[in-house]
Amino acid sequence: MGSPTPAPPPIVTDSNGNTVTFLKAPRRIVALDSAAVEILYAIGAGDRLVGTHDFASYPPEVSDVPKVGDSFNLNVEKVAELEPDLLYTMFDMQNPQLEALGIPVLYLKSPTTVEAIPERIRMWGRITGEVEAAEGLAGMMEASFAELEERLASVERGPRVFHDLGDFWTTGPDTFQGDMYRLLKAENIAYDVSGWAQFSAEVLVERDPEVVIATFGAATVYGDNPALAGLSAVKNDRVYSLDVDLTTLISVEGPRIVEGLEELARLLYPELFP
Amino acid sequence: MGNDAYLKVSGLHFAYGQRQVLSGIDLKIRRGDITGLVGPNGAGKSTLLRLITGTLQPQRGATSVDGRMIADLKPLERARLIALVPQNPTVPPGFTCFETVLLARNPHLRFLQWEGPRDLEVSRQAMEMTDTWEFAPRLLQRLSGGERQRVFIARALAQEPSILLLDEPTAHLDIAYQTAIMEMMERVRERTGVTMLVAMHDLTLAAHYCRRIAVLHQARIVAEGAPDEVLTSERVSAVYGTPVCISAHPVDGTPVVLPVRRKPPG
Amino acid sequence: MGILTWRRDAGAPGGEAAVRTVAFAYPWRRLVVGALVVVLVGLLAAGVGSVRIPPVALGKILASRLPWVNIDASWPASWDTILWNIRLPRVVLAGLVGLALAVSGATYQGLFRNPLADPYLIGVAAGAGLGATVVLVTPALHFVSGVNMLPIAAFLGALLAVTAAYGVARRGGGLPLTTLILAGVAVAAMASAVTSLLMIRSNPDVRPLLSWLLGGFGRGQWRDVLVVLPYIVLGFLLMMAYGRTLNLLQLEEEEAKQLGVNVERAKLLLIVVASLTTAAAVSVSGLIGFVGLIAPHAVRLLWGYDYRSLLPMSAVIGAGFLILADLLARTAVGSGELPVGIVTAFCGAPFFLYLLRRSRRM
Repeated sequence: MGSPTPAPPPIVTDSNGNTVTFLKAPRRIVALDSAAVEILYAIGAGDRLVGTHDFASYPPEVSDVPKVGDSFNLNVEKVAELEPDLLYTMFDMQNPQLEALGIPVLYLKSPTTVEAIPERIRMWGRITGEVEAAEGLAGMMEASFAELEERLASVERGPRVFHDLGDFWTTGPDTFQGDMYRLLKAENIAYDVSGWAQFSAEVLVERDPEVVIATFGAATVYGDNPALAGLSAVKNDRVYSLDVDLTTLISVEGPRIVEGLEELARLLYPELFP
Repeated sequence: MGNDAYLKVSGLHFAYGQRQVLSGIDLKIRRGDITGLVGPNGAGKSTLLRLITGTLQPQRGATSVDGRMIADLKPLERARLIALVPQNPTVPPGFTCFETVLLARNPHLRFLQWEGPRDLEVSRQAMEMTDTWEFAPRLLQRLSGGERQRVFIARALAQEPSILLLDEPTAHLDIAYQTAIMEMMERVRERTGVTMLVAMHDLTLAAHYCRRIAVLHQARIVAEGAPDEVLTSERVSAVYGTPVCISAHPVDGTPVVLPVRRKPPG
Repeated sequence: MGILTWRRDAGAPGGEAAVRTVAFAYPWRRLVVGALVVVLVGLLAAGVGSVRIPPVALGKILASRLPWVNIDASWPASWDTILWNIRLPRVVLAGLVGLALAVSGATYQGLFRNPLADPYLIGVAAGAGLGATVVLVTPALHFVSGVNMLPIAAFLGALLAVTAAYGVARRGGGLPLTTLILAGVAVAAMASAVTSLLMIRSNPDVRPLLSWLLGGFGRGQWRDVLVVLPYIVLGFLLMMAYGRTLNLLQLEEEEAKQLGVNVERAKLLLIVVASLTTAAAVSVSGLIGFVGLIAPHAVRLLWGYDYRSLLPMSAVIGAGFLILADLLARTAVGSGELPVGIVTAFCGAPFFLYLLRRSRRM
């Protein structure tokens, strides 16, 4: 019996269309995105993280990892000091500078659909070599999605929902959060918005959401502004303010999105998800 | 009335920082007179005029008009009494000549009051006296220097002052404009009886038109009186630091100040 | 009425008289007409929005609010809410803010004798921006005891900035204006720097902050109108009362003093009033540029330089312009909204160029 044939080196296509080949699994990773950080820890590759962005907060171990700025404001010196063999970013303006320093860069924009997350997890598994752990995690997530779908099978059409990021800023169906609502069969009233936009108060009143999901601090205006008093969501007391933790759960495109989805489902369908 | 001093300056002292500009100035001007204030550049003529209007405060001394101390008056009262045509008046953009002259009615108006028929009439007369009424609807900035000067004089007249101060009104103007302005001032004086104190650089012009001359030199009034008494060749040479020769004007005998070349030609 | 016509005798035998008209007009008529136009524009603007409400229904909804009228409500309740609680307060707010910015801008231009002055000159905008940023990046500060802290913080920030500039510039009883401008520039730069720092270092979404900084009436409610109304109306009336003083201030300070103006008191009062009015406007609308700079110039080109007419007509133009700009901001992009500041810049610049080419007075 011979040794198993070595798997071909993983190849990833980045968001600029370039292919990145990983001849060796990286052991010193700088990840400038919370989702990537959580995924790495979840598949057992957390010890390879040598640097991350300023706002990383989960899991708790990440507080010991050196901070190097964020995607838009990178402290290149600190990055160089850490001698990483991979830097992962969601923003490409500083790539030429980093590549000139000999640091391999992987540039991937954030996923815009929920189903893309298990794929990302698998990708990280291939890159780091933790293929089994990644497959397990991805499989679990997909199973959770399927379970959610089953529990929602009886629902033909979910409630009209408005996702308020503050000051009536909201997301359209083509963003990650928009996709979450699609999965949960809720009707995002900002269906004609592309990306993010500040929503018109008139249209908000006209389309009358039954549920309002407001990120931290944005919910108070609903009790405050007489123009919104007639909304079904206000009248039925279904304006939900997400605390900071819950906001993170539904914003980070990582393994915990399942919890985020469940929380949202609980808010949207209290009868089905007590 | 007779020889009573209408405008009286007593013991005025003024310094800019360390520099003593005026030191113990005494001046008595009779009602209805035109007095010329002469002196070398930088002697302090403008400063003296500004002190008389009350916009500068002296360190010592006082100015009074008809017995009332101007320092005791409120700014609006002073403005009704004393008007100054400055050396380089501001030309506000976009104002017509008439609007410029109307500004002078401010001391006669209450805070929220608009100009009434009398204000418009006074302004019109002021402009007619200065031959500027034809410029009334035109923009001030479009006039020539000489024409503008007459408008500024009209503005000062529209204040209906008892005392009119003029700071070098004929500077930078050609002989035609110079005489025009001096003639105009005579006319004004005759028609309105306003008392005038005119700072001038041209000694001959001053002597020809002013009833009295005061000479300001090294922070003091060194002479005051009728032109032929005050403007002697010794005094003028001493004050201005250059040799001069005084002749008599062929028409009325007033002093004519003539420069003297140090080295004759040839 | 006030336009004078004087007869001027030619003095020649035969006595022809030339009639010369001197333009001095009291501005009452143009004021009344201007105010009516603004009201009309406001009503029309309230009739248009991202939700289409037919004009007949609009008329009925308005009429139903009159106490003696009784109409059966045959329209959806949302229309009533949209018209009364969203559009009308917005239109009124836009009018008030436009009025405030235009009058303050004209006052600053007159005070500093600088045609490039705008109401944000001595630090109001940067200070308000800093105040708003502090609140927006600190979720805990959004509402204190149920009171929305955002407009309060913006207002206080604006006043602090102006006070700082004033404190630096004030010298021995006088207030040299060039120093005040420079001090204002320095204070504004400092406040902007801190604002940028806070923005960069904050994790929460910066979009609400950016949209506030660019200005908008999306959050407008009747309560906002009631809060700023006294400041803006009072400020407007006070600045108007100083119209003739502003005319006189176009002369050198000393000439104005010789004409009886208490220059130091006028300067201080005008700065305080204009700053307060601008701060109140900015606290509810964010930083809307262009209105305070352009409206007075448009008025000058059309009606002249007398501040007694320039100030109220600037108010008219500013109010009308901002109402229309807000209309565009809320209808141009489907069910989304543009920040008003972008609209004012896009519309204001070409319009001003057109006026300049047409001008005869300059």
